Amino acid sequence: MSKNTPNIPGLGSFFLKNPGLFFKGMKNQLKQGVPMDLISLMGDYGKKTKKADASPTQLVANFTAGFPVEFLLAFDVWPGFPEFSACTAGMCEISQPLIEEAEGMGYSRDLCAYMKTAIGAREKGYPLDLGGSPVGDFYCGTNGVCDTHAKWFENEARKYGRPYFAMDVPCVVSGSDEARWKVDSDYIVAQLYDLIKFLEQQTGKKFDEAKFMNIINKSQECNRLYLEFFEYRKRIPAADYFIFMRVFMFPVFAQYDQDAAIKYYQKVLDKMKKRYAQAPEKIGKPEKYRLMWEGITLWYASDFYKDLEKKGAHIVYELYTESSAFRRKKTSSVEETMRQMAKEFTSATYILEQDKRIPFMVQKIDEYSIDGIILHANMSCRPSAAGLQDVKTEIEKRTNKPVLILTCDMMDPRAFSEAQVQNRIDAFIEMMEENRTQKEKQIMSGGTGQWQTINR
Amino acid sequence: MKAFAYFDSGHEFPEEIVMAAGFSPMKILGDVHKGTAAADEYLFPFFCPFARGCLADALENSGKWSGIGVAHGCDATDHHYDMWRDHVKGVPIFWVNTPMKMDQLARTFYIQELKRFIDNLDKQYSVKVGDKELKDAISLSNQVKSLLRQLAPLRVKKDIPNRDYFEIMRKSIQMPKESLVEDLKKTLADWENRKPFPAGKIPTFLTGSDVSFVEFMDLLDNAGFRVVRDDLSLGERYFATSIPDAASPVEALVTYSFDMPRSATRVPSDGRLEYILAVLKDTKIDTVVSQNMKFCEPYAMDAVWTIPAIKGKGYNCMHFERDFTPADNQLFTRLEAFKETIQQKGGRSNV
Repeated sequence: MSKNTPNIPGLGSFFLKNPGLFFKGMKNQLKQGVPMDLISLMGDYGKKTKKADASPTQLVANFTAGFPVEFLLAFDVWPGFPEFSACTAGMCEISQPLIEEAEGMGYSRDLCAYMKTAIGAREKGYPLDLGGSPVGDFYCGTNGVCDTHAKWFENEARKYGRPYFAMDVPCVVSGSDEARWKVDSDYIVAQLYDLIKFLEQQTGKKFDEAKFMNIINKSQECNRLYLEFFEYRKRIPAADYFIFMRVFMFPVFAQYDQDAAIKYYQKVLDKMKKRYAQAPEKIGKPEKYRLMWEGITLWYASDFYKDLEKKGAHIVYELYTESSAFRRKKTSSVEETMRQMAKEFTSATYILEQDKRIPFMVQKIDEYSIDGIILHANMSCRPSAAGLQDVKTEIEKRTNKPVLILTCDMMDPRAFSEAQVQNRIDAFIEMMEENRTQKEKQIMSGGTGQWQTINR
Repeated sequence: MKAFAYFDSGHEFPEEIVMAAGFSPMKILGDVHKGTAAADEYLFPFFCPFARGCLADALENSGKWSGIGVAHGCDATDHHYDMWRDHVKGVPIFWVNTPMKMDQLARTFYIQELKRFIDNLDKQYSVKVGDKELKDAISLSNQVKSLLRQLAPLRVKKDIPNRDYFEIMRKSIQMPKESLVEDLKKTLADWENRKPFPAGKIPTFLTGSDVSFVEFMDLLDNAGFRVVRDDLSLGERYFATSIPDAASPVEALVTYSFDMPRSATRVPSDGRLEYILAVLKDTKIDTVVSQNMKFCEPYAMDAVWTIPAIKGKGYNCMHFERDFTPADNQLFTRLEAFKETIQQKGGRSNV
C-alpha cells in the first residue's frame, strides 16, 4: 500500500518554526518527573513510529485503547496510537489550542478531548512528541471502551480513504448472566476471526498462529509484571503514585516493543523488591492520606497532583491505570486466547457495570488502605462518568470514607477551575483528617466499631 | 391493554415483541416542561438532557407501566441502564442489546438477543410469545407503517404544520396500535383535504438528534421551515420500510432493523448520508436543517462530515446545537437569519 499523506514532522523542524511552543512543551513534560528510562522507552516509540511512517513498505495501523494490538504485531504492522500522542500533548500542557483547532473543524465542544487533541495536532502538523500521530494505512477501532472510539476512527478512515475494521463489543450491564455472556463472547470471537481475514487482506500475509501465540505470551508476561507492581502500591508507603503510573502504563498499553517493556518492568520490580526488603524506616515515610482515583487523569494538571502530595495526600490506586492491563490470564491456543480476550474486553476495570464496579472499588479501598476517594466526573468521557453519584453514595455508606466528585475534563483545561478545585480538595482533606481523629478516638475507646457515635 | 414503556435513543426497541406479549409499547419521551431535576440526582448535567428527561419521566410514572425495556442505542442508554435498574422502582426492567455493526455476525448476535428478550418476557409475565403472536404483531405494526407512508408524502403537497406531523409520530409510538390505526385513517382523510402547501414556507429536510417535544417543531414552522422529509426515529426511520414477511418473525425483525434508514449510532454510518442525499434529489428539496441535542455524541460526530458533504452538493444547510427546552428565542433568530439568506440567494445554494 502506498502512502500518499504527508509524514509527521520531526521535532527539529517543528522547533525551528515554533521555538516558544517547543520550549513550553518540553519544560512541562520534564516537570512531570518521569524517570529517564521510561522517557527513553517512550521516546523510542516516537522514533520508531516516525520511521514506520516514513517507510514506503512498513504498514502503520492506528488503533484505539481496548483494541487487541497483538494481532497487528503478529502481522508485522506498526501500531500507531493517537491517544498516546494526545496524552503527551496533555502533559506538555499544549492541548487547548489543539482542541480548539478540532472544534474549528466542526467537532463539538462536548466531544472527547482525546480525539480533538489528536485531530488538532495532526491538522496543525505537530510532531509525535507533542501530540501528532501518523495517518494510518488502515484503522482498527472498537466501542469496547466507548462509542467515541468507534466513531472517531470511522471518521478518520473516511477522511483519509483508508480501510477500517470496527470491532463491536456488546455493552455489559448490571445483572447480566452467563447465558448472555456466552452470546457476547461468541460474537466477539467471531469478529476476531474476521479481524484475521481483514489483516491478511491488508498485509498480503497469512496468519501465523505460532508467531501470534509467542506475541501473546510476551503480552501476558508484560501484563503480569505490570500488575505485580500494583502489589507494591499496596505497601505503606506505596511504590509510586498516579502521576508516575499514568506514564508507566504506556509500554503495556502500546505493546510496540514487548521485549523492551518486559525488561523495563522487570528492572523496576527488582528495584521494588530491594526497596521493600529494607527495614521499614528505610522504605520511606508513610503517606498521611492514601487516595483512590476513579476516572481518567487530568493530563494538563500535574501541578494539581503535586499540590495534593504537598498536602500529604497521595493517589495510590486508580482503576484507570489498572485497566490498561488486558492480558491477565495465561492461554495456550488461539481459540482460548480469543475467548479470554472476549472476557477481558467486557470486564476491564474502566468499564465495569455498576453492580460489579462498586464492590470492586470497596475491595480495593480495603486492599490499598485508602483514606479517601476522588471520582473524576469527566466531561469528555460520559461512559465513565455515568453512575458516579451512586458510586459516591454507596462507597460512603459501605466504607465511611469521604468521597469527592470533581467535574473536570481529562484533556481540556477550560473545564478545570483551579480555585474551585483547591477549595474542594481542602474540604476533602479536612474530612479525611476528621475521619482519622475519630478513628483514633475509636481505638482509644476500645474499638467498638461504632466510631461515628463517639462524642468529641 | 397495559402499557409497556421503553427508553430508546433511536428506533432500536422491537415494539412487536412486547405487542406479541400482550402489551402496548409506549416510547418514553420525557416532559420538556417538567425538566430533568429528578434525574439530575443520578446523572450529571453534562449528559444528554433527553436521556435525563426520560429518567425523570420513569421515576415519576413507572407505576403506570407493566415493564420497561431499555434498548442499546448510544453510550448514554448503555450506561444509564444500571441507574434505571437501581432507581426506577416497582417495575421489571429489561435490557435489549443491539449491535453497532450490520453484517452477518451482527445479525446472528441480534437474533440471539431478541430471542433472549422474548424468553425473559415469557418468564416474567407467564406468557408465551410464539411465531403466531409475533406475526400478528408485525402485521399490525406494518399497517401503522403503511398508513404513515401514505400520510408523510402529503407534507410536500398540503398544508401540514410541523406540529401535526410530530403529533402523528408521537401517537404512533405512544398509543395502543389498534386504536392508532383508526386514528391514522381519520388523519389521512383530514390531511388529503387540507389546503395546498403554503407559500412562504421553505420545504425542509430535518436531520440529526431525535426531536422529542412539539415546541421545537413549532419553532421551525414559525421561523418559516416546513419539515417535509426527515430521517428521524420519531419520523421516517420509523416507517420508511416495512417488517418483511419471513418464515422466522424474529429474523424479520432483525432484517427490518438493519434495512431502515441508518442512524448515527451504527458503524459505518455512511448509509445515513446516502439516504439524505437520495431523498433530497428525489424530492427536489434544497434546504436541510441539521440539529444536535446538546451532548448527543453520535450525531455530533457525524455532523463533522455530513454537513460539508450536504453543503458541497449545493444545498442550503444549517447545523446547530439545541437544548431540552420548550422555548429558544436565540435559535429562532438564527433560523430567521438562515431563512433570509436562502431567500436572498433565491434558490439552491450554500449558506
